[in-house]
Amino acid sequence: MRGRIPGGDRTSVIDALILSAGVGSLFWFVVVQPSIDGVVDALAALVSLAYPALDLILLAIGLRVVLMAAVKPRYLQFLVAGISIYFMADVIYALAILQGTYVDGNPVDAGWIIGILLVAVGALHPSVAHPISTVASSDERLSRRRFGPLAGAALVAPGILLILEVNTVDKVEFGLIAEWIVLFALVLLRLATTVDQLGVSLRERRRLQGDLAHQANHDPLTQLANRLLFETRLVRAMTTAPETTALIFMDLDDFKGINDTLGHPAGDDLLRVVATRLQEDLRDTDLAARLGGDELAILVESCADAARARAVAERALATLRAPVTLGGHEFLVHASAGVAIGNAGSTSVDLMRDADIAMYRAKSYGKDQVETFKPGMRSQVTSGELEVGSGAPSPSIVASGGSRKGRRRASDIRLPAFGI
Amino acid sequence: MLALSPAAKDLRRQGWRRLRRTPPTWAVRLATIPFLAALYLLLPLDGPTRVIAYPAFGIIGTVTILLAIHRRHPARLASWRLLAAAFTLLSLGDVTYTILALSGEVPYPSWPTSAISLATSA
Repeated sequence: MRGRIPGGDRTSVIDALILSAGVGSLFWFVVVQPSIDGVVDALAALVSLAYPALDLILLAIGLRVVLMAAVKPRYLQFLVAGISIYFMADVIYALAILQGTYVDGNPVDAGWIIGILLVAVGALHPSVAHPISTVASSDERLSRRRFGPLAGAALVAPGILLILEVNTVDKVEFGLIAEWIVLFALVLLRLATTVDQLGVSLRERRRLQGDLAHQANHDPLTQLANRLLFETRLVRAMTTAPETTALIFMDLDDFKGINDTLGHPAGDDLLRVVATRLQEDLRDTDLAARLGGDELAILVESCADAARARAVAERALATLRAPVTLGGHEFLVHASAGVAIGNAGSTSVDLMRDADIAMYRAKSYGKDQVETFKPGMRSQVTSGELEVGSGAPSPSIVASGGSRKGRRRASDIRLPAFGI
Repeated sequence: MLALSPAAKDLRRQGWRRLRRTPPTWAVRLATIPFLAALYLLLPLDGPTRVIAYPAFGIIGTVTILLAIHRRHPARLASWRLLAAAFTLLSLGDVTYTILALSGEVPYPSWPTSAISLATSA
């Protein structure tokens, strides 16, 4: 069993015992008790009854495994079905022995054959190679699907007593047993209601926990990962596999121009569009984040080399270039990206700094392009050749007149309404 | 006129049967169980045929589990080895019963048969 859960074992063991005790009661009252008085050979009867009794223990073990498993693999289903059929065949056999009606070649033999072959087919099923994962959710252990058979098993003994009392027409006992069953059923109903309420509140709590976790780790505007989540994932990636961890820093070119001319709501809309496009473009394993303002970052894990990371960045930039309509005007969004890939000695801080330097190099080369970090860039920063922290002056969010042909750089045109 | 793509032509050449879903192997194995059980019930009730045939199923079960342990490498190897041991005992019990039955009247309970068979469940 994989992924043991606190209390999980005990719950499943108790449930399996209740179910087996219910089946055992049925076996005792239906098979053993009616035949026990007429038995001539006590040893023969004892041996015959030992088979189903031992099967019952096997069945309890099988049921316990089934109840614990989050997903019931096919082989386990075959195994339990095989044991159940074998148990039934043993019960019929015991009954036949007690009544002296069993002969060799009895059709009950087919039950044993089916039971054995079901276990054999289960053993050959491919699912046998995978470990069983235990029930992860308490919903499963509190479900009506689980509760129904348990209630049924608990009602077997009083049910049989009731039938026996009806047959002996004992009115006083009948009344007592009927009252017992009604009370028991009411208690079960009460328990079921409590279980339902508990289930609802558990689901609600889990949903709220999920919401809180999401809020704590995501940017409310774009729903991209926030700096906290991003840095956590980056540190983890750099700790486990630094050589295959790539970081892409992106900055929207002249985003300030949009905010200043169209207002902050338009800037927010643009960021949302950019975030959606980035999310759609990336693999599930990649993580896009908004680090603040118009600064975006992408963590690419399991990245073979810098060329692959660069390709991801170029594809992201190409995706962003599709026109965006803001305030009735169509804009082409451009961004600059810096790519850095980790190495054995580097840390998450080194990688962020390198990607940042590469991004500013891309901006200094005229924006709307990707630059991969090279070790020489650090000395350029130190010498003042490359200025980090301020973009190059020429704006490059391009306003469009409606047709592709008519699109020009925002700096080249003046939109009177927005002052660009 | 519609022209077939090279892939479609290839598919037609090899036959459309390739497109049909074949049932998984386990389903085929499962389907043979009632067939084998029915075959057993069709054996003549008189005479020793059924008594001789019955242990064969236990042996088939034992061999299959041993084969599965070898081929599938189960995650819970110890449990499957224990099950294989139990099935071996079951087969031994069945074979002992058959030998006793063929050599004359079977005493019930027969100590060797019952002891071995009960040890299976234990």
